[in-house]
Amino acid sequence: MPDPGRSVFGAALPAGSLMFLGAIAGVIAGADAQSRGEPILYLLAPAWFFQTFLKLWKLLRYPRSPAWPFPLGLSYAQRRGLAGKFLGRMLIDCCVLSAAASTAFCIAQSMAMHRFAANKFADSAAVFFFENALLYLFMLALVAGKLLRPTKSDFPGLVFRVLKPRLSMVRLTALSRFCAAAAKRLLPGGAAILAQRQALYLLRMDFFSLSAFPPLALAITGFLLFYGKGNVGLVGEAAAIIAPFLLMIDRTPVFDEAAKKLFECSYYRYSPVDRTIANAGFAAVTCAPFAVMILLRELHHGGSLLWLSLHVAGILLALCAAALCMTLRWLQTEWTMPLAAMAATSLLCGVLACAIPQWGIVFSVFALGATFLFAKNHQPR
Amino acid sequence: MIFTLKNCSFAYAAGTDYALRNIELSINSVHVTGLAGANGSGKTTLIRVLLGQLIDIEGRYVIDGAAVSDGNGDIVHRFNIGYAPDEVVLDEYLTGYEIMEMAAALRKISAPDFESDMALFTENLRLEDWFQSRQCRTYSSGMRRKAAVCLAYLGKPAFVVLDEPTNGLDPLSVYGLKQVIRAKKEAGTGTLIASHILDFVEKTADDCILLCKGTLSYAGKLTELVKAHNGATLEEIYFSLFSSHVP
Repeated sequence: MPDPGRSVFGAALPAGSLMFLGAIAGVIAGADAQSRGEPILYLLAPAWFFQTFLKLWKLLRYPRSPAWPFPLGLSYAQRRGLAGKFLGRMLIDCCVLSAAASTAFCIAQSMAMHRFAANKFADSAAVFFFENALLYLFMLALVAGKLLRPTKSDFPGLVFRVLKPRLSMVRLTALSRFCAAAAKRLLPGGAAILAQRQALYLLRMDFFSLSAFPPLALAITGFLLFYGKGNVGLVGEAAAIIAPFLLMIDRTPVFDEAAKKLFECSYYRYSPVDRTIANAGFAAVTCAPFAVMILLRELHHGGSLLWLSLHVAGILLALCAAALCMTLRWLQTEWTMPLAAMAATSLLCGVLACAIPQWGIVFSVFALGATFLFAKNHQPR
Repeated sequence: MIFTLKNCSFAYAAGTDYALRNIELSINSVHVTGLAGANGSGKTTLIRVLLGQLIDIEGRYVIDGAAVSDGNGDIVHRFNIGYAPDEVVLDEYLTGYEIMEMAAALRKISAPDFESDMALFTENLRLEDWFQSRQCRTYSSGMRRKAAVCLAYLGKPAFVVLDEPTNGLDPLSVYGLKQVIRAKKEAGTGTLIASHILDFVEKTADDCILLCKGTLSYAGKLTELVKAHNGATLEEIYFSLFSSHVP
């Protein structure tokens, strides 16, 4: 019996489950002719995109780890052989499989939703296929630009040509210093120094993912918000809240290392208050673009400015609470159950803030307040 | 500041041998104190006890007359102690200079004081371009040691603890380290130096602590120890005291 955490079958399970749930949701939506079936598709879309992007990323960085269904059916030796090939070629190979799988999933769901209306499912399938193709082209460009490359550590025991990064160490050092200096200006006192240190460390440790993931999350969320027009308001906002979570959860090893190092370096002397402020600032900066995007969308649709502001503020606060939970995670040595519960509550409050247009802010305020209290009472040092 | 251990013992686990046994000593924070002993004699354990990193100590630990019972390294922050451990921990993706800048900002060290410290370290520890331009993960063990020593002495710490500070250092830098220790002593910052290099200890320390298998063999003025052994060097004294104990 293969280890579920290691085998390709075990690793493909989440993706398979997602597809299955999507199909079920599609069938349920399609059963009621009056229901708005289309948003279900969009609700699943961000999760699909983020997961596709992340798994592709992992496959390219760590080709030997079976983390995605496209190597499904390939033996370990075959996957290892695949990893040794030129990355762009491998990407194209994988693209065909992935696009085929996603298109089949999309067609099945659309058929259920639109009671087999060919013109509807053809539209959706085309859009889905097109979006997938764009995503892969983007990844391909990254490989071609040598921004994405395997390193020796990705291939233990294998002899492999390590591609040189286009971004030289000197440029990276200068760029990270610039970003860190910008981060420092946003916060007061000791918190500013901690933010500066965090920015420097993270950008140099994993520059590409840290600089590419947040903009990508924004791009996908923006696409969903504006592409869906009037149909995806709530769904788009919920997706906007989930997006940073999905991205940041996958990046936790990077943050873990940075946080662990901060604890070990006894020469940094800071107060817990400074660290909490630094985390909150980081959370706010991460979330602000999402809130701005939602605000733009709401403004586009019109409505009272006061209630609109409250609604957007509610979503921003919920996002901050959620992101603050994630930053707390980076500073804990373990993912504790209270922290997990707090993160889940923040997410729920965020969704409620989206669902209740005016007074949803109340939930967000409570979520953020609870998170701050949690941060205050759970200082590791 | 006076660090006093009164009849202190420590074992890493219940039922195991004591790593430190009935230690009774005082360390003055304005003096340079050498801590010598064979491998496994308890030097690093003693340092960890002094820095509050080990809890469940038997006996009393007193700083300036006030009892201390605090784990988690808080003593380092509360009493402004600089510490360069044997296994150097650095922020691997930052340059040494960046770490120094950030540590200085967090400790609220003024720009002139920072510049003055940097000048002292640069001249004596031979900090060259690598300190400003290279990330710590690319440093050699000697470079890492220098960075750790600089961080320990940065600003005006009340006391500094150096664990095996000469490991990996070239002769010129060892000489420079002595100059730094002396300069900081003149500025009012004493140092506890745990080292196997007895010549280094002899030439820098005012006081001396000798440990053997977790027990205290000597704690007091180095000159008095030398005088009691008819002017012998510390190396000769150490050999005469411990040659029968060391395998």
